[in-house]
Amino acid sequence: MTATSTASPTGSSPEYTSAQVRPGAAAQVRQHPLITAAVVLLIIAVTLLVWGNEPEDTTALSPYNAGPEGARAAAQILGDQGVNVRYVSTLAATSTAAADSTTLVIASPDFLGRDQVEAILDYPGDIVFLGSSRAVSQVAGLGTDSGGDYVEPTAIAAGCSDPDAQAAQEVTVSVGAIADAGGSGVETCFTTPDGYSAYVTANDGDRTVRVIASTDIVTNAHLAEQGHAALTLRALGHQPSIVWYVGNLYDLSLPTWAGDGEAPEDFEVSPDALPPWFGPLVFMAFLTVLVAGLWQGRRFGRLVPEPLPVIVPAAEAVRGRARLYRRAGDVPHACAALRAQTATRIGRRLGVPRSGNADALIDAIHRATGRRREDVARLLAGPLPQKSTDMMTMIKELDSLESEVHRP
Amino acid sequence: MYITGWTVLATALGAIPALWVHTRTFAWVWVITVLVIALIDVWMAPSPTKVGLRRRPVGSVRLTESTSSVVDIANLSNRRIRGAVRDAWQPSAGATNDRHRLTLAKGASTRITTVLRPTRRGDRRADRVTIRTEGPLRLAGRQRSLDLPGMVRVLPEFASRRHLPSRVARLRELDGETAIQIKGAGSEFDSLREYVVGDDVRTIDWRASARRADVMVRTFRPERDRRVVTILETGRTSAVRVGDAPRLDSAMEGALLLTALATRAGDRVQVSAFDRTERARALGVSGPAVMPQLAEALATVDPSLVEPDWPAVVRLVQERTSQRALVVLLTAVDSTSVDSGLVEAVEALSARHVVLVASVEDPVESAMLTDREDTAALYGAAAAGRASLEREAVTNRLRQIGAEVLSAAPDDLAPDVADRYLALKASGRL
Repeated sequence: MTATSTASPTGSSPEYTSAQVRPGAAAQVRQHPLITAAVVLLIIAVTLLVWGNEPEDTTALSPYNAGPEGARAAAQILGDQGVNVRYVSTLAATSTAAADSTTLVIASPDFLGRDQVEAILDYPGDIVFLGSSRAVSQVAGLGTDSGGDYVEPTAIAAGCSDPDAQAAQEVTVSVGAIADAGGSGVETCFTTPDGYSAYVTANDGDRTVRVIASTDIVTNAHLAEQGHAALTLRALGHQPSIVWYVGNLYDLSLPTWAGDGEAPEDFEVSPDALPPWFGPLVFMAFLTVLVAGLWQGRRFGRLVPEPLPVIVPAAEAVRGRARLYRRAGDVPHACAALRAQTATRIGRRLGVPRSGNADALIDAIHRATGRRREDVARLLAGPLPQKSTDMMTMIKELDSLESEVHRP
Repeated sequence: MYITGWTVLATALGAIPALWVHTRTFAWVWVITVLVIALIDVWMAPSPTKVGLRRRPVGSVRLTESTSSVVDIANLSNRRIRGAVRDAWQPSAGATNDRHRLTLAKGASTRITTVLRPTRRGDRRADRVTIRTEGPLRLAGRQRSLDLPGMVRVLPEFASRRHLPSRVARLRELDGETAIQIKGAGSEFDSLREYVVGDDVRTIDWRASARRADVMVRTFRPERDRRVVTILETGRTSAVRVGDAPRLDSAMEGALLLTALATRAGDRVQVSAFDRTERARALGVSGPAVMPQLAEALATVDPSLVEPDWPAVVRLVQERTSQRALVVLLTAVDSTSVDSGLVEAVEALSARHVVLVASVEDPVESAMLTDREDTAALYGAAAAGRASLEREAVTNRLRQIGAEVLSAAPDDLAPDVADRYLALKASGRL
């Protein structure tokens, strides 16, 4: 980039200098195969990043989460069996076209508010709750206030007449089990001797609300154990399609059902936190900032260095000495210096020769100021103070003496 | 390769369709499309190698004054070239607005002018010249930098030249050239004239009076054609900052003013910057050529962190002048001067020459001496007092040897040195 050459003599001004022509792109690729390979790899990586930038799902019980907490296995098997699984990210989007052929799956209902649970139960079709909450138990009429309790994992047999439960035969009851459920139309299955049920159904004649309270049954980690798969797939697979929603704290929206259970064509989303275009707009702004970085990051020529001289302030040595005096608390030494300095200045003013002894100076000051000779002698030749308070007094006296001498 | 603000604007415009298309993929596609178009624009941009550059020499400039760097630019291609050029200089060259827009028709040429206002003395160098050629869509273009050597020599400021007219007037008074009552002082015989009432009877030349019928008096004038040797010490102590400039800069002002004045007075001046070797010299010329030569010589002198070699200074002075001269040592007098050999050097020089030792004193230290604000300030005053006593001792020693010693704040040093020179001249000690 720095190489220069004189322009060819065919130009009108042969003494012009211009940047040397660099070898063509093909030659550069041949010259630097490693750099070329690195660039190609980078481009491939960026392309993959761009096209495959679906963020990895880590939400528990999400049908796209492949981790141990997720429920992708169940969702995929249901899909293979011909069930249409639709995943929605807000409660407001759970509208369906046909309530009589769609199961509403609500995972993690403990994140939902009571009003949201009430709105969900207004849905006329089948509902499956994955997980339990106090609101669900109360609103769905399970005959208990239990919101799911901790239970030591134990394998329990169905012990009820529900065909799904009977098909599953035995599941592990674990955390989330509902205590003491019961009532008309309510059936409790997989109940421990203490009364904790892993699976509760409530039938009000038109539709069935199923609660798989111990969610471990549905997760990828435990789906293959015991009768978990049978229970999950049967409970969720009653209808040809599923709308799957995972509750989260930040979603405050409510589903809006038409009176007949069918979704309205155009419904008001309320009260969603942000408009739908907000996310894409922020992402576009982020990309713009990146491009602006490219724009401003390219220097118009390199930075020019400046060889700078050393900077040593002249008073540095004196300041250092002052700090030494102070740290050592050397009052006599400091006072001696100041006194000698004052004496020199006064001597110069009064014309006392430097070689003259102290008495000559004291006499001269005595004559010039009219101060008592003993006082002047004590100040200029007396003992030096030892304490810093005495130092201040002495300096004050020296200053006043000097000002008297200097007074015309 | 570079992109312009238009590319950023084009990217930002993607926000409008993003209001309706709510996917990230759309955003990526938009940005990549814009960048690909920018790349095509780069490919279509004219090559920066087809821009010819030629720098005109800048020459020298006095510090605080401004000059300009001129670069001729020619379009050597057979297309129109649109773009920008940056004529980069090192920061202390003071090039503001070094970027210039460029539009050159086929085969045309132009020149760009960058104003330089240097902030430091010495040789300030140009860095690379960078050329940007813009593509037809103005989204992006190509960029190349090339070395185009250039230099501006920054001469010392010589701020003390404002003191020169008053000192030259004093010189004229000494010379007797001004129309005032005082006849010229000095010791060099000028002429004989008839006695008039009021003349000093001591100036009557009895021998000449005996030859003529009248009483004749001798008139005098200051000595001419004396030698002044100025030594600028560029060692360790000259690097120290007093105020916001190194001590050397104040000493340089002193050397410049003294040289200007002494040249007017008809003396022959030599200046030498010295630490362990001679860093710069100005000698052998006279008349109006002296000052430019000196400024040029001192421009590139920088303090070096070494102990000055005073015996070598003595040898240098003895080598350069066999006659009696005024030797001005611009250095720092402090307690270390005893160890460094300054005192011995002054002693050796005083045997044949008149020596003037001038040093810059620190106003901060003088302020510390009278500061009584708190205990720390009192200790500061004590330390400053001790330093001042030590300096005093060295000064006394130098005076005993017979040297003139002078110490002044940075701004006062040059006029003080000039005044002391005039005083020495008036008293005929040169």
